[in-house]
Amino acid sequence: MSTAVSERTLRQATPDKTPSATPALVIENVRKEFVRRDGTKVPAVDNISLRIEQGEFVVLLGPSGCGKTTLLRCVAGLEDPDSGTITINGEQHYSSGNRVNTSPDKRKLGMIFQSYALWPHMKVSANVAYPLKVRGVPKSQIRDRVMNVLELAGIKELAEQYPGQLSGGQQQRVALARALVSNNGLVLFDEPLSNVDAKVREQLRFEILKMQSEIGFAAVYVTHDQDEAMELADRIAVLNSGKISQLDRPEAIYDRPADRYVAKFVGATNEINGVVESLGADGAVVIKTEAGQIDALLGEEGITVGDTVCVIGRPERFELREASAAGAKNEWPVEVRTTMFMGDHRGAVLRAKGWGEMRVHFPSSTDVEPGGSLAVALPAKFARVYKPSSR
Amino acid sequence: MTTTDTKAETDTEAPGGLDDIDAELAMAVVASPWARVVARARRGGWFSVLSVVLGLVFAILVIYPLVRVLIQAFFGDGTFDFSIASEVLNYPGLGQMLLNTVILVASSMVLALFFGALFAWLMERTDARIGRLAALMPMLPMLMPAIAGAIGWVFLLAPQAGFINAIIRAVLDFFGVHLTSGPLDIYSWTGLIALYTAYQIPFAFLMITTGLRNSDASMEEASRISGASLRHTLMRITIPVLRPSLGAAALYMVWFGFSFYSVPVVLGTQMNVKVLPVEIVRLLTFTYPSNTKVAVGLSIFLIIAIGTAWYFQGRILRSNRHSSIGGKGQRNSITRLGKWRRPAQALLVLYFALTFVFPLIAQILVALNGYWTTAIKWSALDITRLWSGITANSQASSAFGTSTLLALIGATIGMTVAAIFALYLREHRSRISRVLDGVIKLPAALSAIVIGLGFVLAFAGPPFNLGNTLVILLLCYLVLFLPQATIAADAAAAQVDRQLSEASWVSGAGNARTFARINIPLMIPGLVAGWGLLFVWMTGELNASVMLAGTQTPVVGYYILQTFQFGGFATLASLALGLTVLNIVVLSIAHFIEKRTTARGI
Ligand SMILES: Nc1ncnc2c1ncn2[C@@H]1O[C@H](COP(=O)(O)OP(=O)(O)OP(=O)(O)O)[C@@H](O)[C@H]1O
Ligand SMILES: [Mg+2]
Repeated sequence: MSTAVSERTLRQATPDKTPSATPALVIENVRKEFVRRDGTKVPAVDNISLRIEQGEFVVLLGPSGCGKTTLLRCVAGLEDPDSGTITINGEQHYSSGNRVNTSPDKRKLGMIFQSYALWPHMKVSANVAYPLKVRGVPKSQIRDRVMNVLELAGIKELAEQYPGQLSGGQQQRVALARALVSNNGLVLFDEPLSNVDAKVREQLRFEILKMQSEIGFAAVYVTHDQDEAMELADRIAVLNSGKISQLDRPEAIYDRPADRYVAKFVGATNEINGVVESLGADGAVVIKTEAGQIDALLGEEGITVGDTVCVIGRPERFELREASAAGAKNEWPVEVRTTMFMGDHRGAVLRAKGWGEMRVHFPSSTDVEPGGSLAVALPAKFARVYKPSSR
Repeated sequence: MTTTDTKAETDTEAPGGLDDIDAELAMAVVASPWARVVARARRGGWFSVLSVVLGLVFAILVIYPLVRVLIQAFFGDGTFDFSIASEVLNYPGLGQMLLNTVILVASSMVLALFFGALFAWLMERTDARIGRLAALMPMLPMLMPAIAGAIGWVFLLAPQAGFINAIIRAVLDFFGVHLTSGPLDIYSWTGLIALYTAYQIPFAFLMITTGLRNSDASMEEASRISGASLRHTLMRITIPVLRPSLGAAALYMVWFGFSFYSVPVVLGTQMNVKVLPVEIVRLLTFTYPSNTKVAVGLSIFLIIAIGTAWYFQGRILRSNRHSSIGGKGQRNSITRLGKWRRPAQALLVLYFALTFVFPLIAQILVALNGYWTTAIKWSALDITRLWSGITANSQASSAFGTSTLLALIGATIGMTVAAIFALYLREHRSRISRVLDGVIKLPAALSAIVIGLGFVLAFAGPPFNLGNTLVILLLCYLVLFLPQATIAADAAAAQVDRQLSEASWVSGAGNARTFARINIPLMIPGLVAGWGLLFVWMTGELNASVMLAGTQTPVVGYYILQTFQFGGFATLASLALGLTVLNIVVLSIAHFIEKRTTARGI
């Protein structure tokens, strides 16, 4: 957890990302459809628009098959979109209207592949020097720049090795160095850390942020790991079958998900179905459920009285307390099933009327006995109401 | 990877959701697949354009001669008529010739299947395995081309001057039996069938070995454990499981046998046994004026035979799609042959000796001696004569030089083109590129005789007037062997992860540089191996060479045949030997480079 703290400080140190001058990347209405062998059409990228400022770190988050890789490959020019425009650092590189479609070597960006894609027949130094060499950087500069970036990536001593002789984590650092060496201002990451183990992953995340603060590039980072997304992102785009469900800062994504899909994909949830009884001011609602009336907050637009909805609460937003005889609002007596010690918190599986089994997190300093009689309460501002299925 | 597979499909189809692009663009990009290919190619830079152009050029080089053959066959003199048909059907000795061909192909097929399967089983499933020989066996026809082998066997078994006959006679003499010729005769049906069989066995061996590796040995173990005898297991389990590979091998042999030229031309001519491919070449090349009409007409029989073989081949493969069983192909059940082990190994060694060592010794003896006789003066043997047959004869040396040069150029161009095209095909699987790929691979399904014939019709005369030039030979070799080259290059390309070239592309390198700096170095082991095979095939090429080569463009195969007909045996032995040595050297070097580059961790 110490890394998380330093990352946050680091992020504040990065140059300001106010929508100033030219954005690093502008994607407008990009669409890419695949036709499967059996003829079914897959809209892998479905009219996505996205604007990324200089130095901004945007994470594309979504389940497998939602089109993250396809979008990234469209930006890199490795895939031809069907329509839309793609502008990198103010230069239009794809536009169906203007019939512009440049090849990847003209797009001036760095990319890190899931499989590292290091060239096995070249030494580490040659791998990293390659982007400089092909862009005609003078020989005298190449060596210095390569050594600098290798040092930054913490692998200076590996310069004369072949990729086959490196560990997975080291290979990933080489790939990182290669993508950053020509410093193009925009770097694409396609699940770069999914092949390394948890410990190395955490370390590398930290170093990616460190390098970003030192070099100052904008990043589009694909992952389906929400912890990774939370740690790295300035903004997260949650994708759902080719569309952006929500694009916002990590806190907002977590605390105010735009729909049930996002709420369930990012972080754990407890859910209960009900019917809207009354609407109040500022999105306050009362929902009638099997667990009684719940005071809650509207999570999305277009919900009216009488609609069937679901109420969602995150495990750590529930408060554990002694059961009060009267039975307050948004409070339910629970039966403790099991508790788990998770290090920084405890998790409990509880049973409450109407909710069924629910998961609740509370500080690890407190403890509860299985079988004890307790209650949990969910403050109205953390009980968010969504349409049962968003799409 | 399934993703690349599905990708193959997607790029072909016009993408959906076009309604929201302006119609003009939709027209330009999708309406005509050509426009799409061109647009794509332009985006990929000149290198993609080059790839497409190369593909087109070679597709034309394949199609145009074939079209000429068909036109000639059906519209011989400008109008559609059946005169060719009647001329061909009334061709004297047609029935006998077809019968000869069928008998030779069928009998050698059965024998080769038997021995090929036996050898494969011995090598794969029993303790009689001889590792080195197992690797060498499929290579035998490449180490010593059939024409050299056939001549070697003539040296050994000709009734009067054959070395083996002389030795047998000497032994019989000792026992008081006096013979002046024989007792064995290579110029006989037995000799013909034996040599056909010898050159078919490696194919059967290769395919059945593959079949054995892909089938699960535990079925045999189960049978043995349940008490079945070795013979019973073989008949009831092993052979039925192998039926698909046996079938594939059989049909491959039909393809090979019907256009096999070297052995029948060496033996059959002397015996007055006519076979189809030899007759086609004779009518076209060794008859004056050449009888192109009938040659083309006869080639239709060839096409029909081979077409039928491919048809059944396809059906067998389809119907047995699910019968390749098991997976890993570990060599886990080694049958112990006990007292049969040594005899079995002796049999394997004997085959190797008969097809390689003996003919090689015969060639060396004749060359060393300076002329072909059974009365070898051992003291007068001269080592320099080994090569002087080539060096002292200006025609022989120029034939040797020409072939080597052609093979060097041809193999290099062929492998380069194949590598470029294989990579292009991997990145851009449009319908058109796949059609091009199919067309380029088509010659593998046809006979070299037909291709050579087509080249004579298409390019020898006006407007190209390439007859008697090295260019026509080079083009024909390229067309003939590009299928094998692309198969080798495809395999090499498949070894290289697509993301490796994508990473280079994103790094700012164009297609050409990515090809030169990333793809080629990574594909080198496979490309070198393919280059070696191409080289060997090109130096040993006979069928098309005989039709296309002339006195100004002598190539080894052509010159060996000529020399054989006029009887310069020392030169012949030198040439056969030289060819064999060249092949062994080139294949060894290729193998060495392949090993070394692979070992570098690529
Ligand atoms: N070349 C292709 N041909 C056909 N369909 C494709 C192709 N590439 C991707 N798809 C489809 O497009 C959709 C999006 O794929 P994509 O690879 O972008 O997903 P992803 O979000 O990167 O998933 P993952 O997290 O598993 O990497 C999937 O349904 C996939 O099957
Ligand atoms: Mg992906």
